[in-house]
Amino acid sequence: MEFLSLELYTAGLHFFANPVVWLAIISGTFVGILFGALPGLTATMTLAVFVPFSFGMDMVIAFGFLLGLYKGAVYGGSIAAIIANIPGTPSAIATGLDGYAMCRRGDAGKAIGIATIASAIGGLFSVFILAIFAPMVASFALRFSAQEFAAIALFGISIIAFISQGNMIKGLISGVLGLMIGVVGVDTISAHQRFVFGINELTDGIGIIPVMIGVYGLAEMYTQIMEKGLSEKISQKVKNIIPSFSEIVNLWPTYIRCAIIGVFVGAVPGAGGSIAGIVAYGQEKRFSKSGNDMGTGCLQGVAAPETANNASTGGALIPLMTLGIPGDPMTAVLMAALIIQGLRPGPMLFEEQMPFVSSIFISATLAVIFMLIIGLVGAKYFARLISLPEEYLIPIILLLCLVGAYGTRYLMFDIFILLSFGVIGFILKRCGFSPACLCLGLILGPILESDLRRAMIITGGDWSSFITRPISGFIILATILILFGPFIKAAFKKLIFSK
Amino acid sequence: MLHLYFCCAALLFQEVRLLVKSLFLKLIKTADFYITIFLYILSVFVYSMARNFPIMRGAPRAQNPGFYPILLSVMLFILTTILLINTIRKVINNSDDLVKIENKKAEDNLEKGKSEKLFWGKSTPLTKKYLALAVIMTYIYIHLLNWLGFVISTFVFMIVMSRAISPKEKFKTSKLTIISIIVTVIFYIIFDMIIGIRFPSGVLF
Repeated sequence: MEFLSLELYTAGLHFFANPVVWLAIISGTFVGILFGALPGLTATMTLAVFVPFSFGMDMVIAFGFLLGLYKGAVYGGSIAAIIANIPGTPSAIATGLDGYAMCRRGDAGKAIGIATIASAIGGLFSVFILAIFAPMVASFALRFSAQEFAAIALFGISIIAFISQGNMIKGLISGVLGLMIGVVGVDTISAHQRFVFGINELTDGIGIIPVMIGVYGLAEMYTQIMEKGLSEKISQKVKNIIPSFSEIVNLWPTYIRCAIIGVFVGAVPGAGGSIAGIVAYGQEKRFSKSGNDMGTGCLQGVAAPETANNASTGGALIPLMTLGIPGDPMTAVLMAALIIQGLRPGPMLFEEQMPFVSSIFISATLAVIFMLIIGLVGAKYFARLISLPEEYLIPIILLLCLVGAYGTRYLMFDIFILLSFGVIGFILKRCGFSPACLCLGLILGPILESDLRRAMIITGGDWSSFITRPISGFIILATILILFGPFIKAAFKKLIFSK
Repeated sequence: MLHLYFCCAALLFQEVRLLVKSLFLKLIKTADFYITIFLYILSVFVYSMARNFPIMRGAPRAQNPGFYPILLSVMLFILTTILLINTIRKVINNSDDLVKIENKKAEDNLEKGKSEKLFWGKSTPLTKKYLALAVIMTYIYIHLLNWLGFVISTFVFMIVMSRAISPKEKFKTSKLTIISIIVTVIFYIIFDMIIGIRFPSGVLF
């Protein structure tokens, strides 16, 4: 409990005497906005492509960069959504509804301005909540043992499967496939080589990073090449970005409502920024006085989803940092980054790496501030990028993927893994399997396995300990309810209606 | 009497055979069917491999290296069976929620008011060719890296790839060359000089 003190927030301050950290956050935010604004380059993909380059950096610098990337990319998606009605990243789906309507009216600048300010407010609020609640959850989670962590890992996979693309069975299958990929390599408990087939490079397992870049980056680019010529390019001059003071202030009820919604939705494992944005938009429409105007291009319609999707970023970091399960696909990539830095996300992080945890809070705050500044100053230029020709963009992204896959371990083998999973990911995605579940399974797999087996070894092969221990029993119950909830609900309905 | 039974059985058999045949013909048009076959093979393969992993005597079963892979393969087998049942059900109900691998344009379906999911999406023969080229180019690039080193292969990749995926009439060689040079230089500065990734230097240079 000792880390519930002010020291948690100040222990990392000394890192920020180093200008490189500042530079990393600024460049991360800039690149994030840039990639977020480009249609087709999702925030998850941006993170996946850049994570390998953070590998060689000091972890504080690396996470400054990645957090900037994360916040920037989620915000940057709104620019493409407003200008061209193509969400630059899935989080911005709801932003396009009113944002694009404003753009057609000639108010693109104002829409981007409000989106920027709303994003910053949502982002700051979420960092605040993260800094308050994460230590509390972590101190609670410190009491967990192998059973609980195995249950949580299972929970994390099942909930994402449930949310992904509406097909639960396919989501679960992707999750299991991810878990299977995680099995390859030397078994940590018995030191037996599993599924190595005599290939030396496989003894360390299949790298998380090349697989992630493959299914998010390469597969996405292949899809775009195949469906080329879909996006119509509309460019409008963006001017008058900074909205008037009263316009900003009058939206305060929207900010409060949507920031709270965003943080909560973000903190639920599995539900990411896109869901937060859509939920917030729907709630705003219902509760706001002028909710009926929404959809025709009003400021609330832009502010609501943008506040929420940025608020979800901090929310999603809570389960990642405290329990070691990612809140959404983007934090799943961040978790991979933590793992390759040699850290295991979870409550122990708060005890063992307190200055680093503290630096995460500070970096996240700075990233939001830089996002606000870069957004307001540079939105015009980012808006122009949307008409960048695909012919040049796609090869550049492919190169980034290739370099990234090579960059973590300097193995040519990793590039072949990248290419294989690019093709596998492409096929799976076309068939409706979710790449997010695959990656989640891959990341959580080794954790699930070691916790599951440790628990089983301690209890001498007794499965019942997962249910009889109160916390793990509760989590397993929650998992079952989530997986079978729809069936149970349908059964109840049948029962009631038949009477 | 026996005669009649045989007749009935033969008729029934014929009926069932036709039903299964028509079902099968519909099934092989769905992408899920092939995925199901692949997943079955995978789960059986993982199971049979994991069965042959060494077993620790006198220790809890969880200590065996095969314990967890076997668990996963059984899970995959069960999930795949559910997927297969779902697919068959959807085929019988003629549901829209099936990924088909027909070569139909999505626009045609939209006109009919149907929202079919197609494996090839909104692709045209031309864009499928682009896709094939892109995959092959990526593969060749990996080999080029070892031969020509990072700088030259990146430059070549940029030029060939941009050329491969753009319609010919829109194409300007001089512009493309300049952009490719700029991209190569930026990549070299950022990744080699700043981040310090040691690229293979190549046999030739």
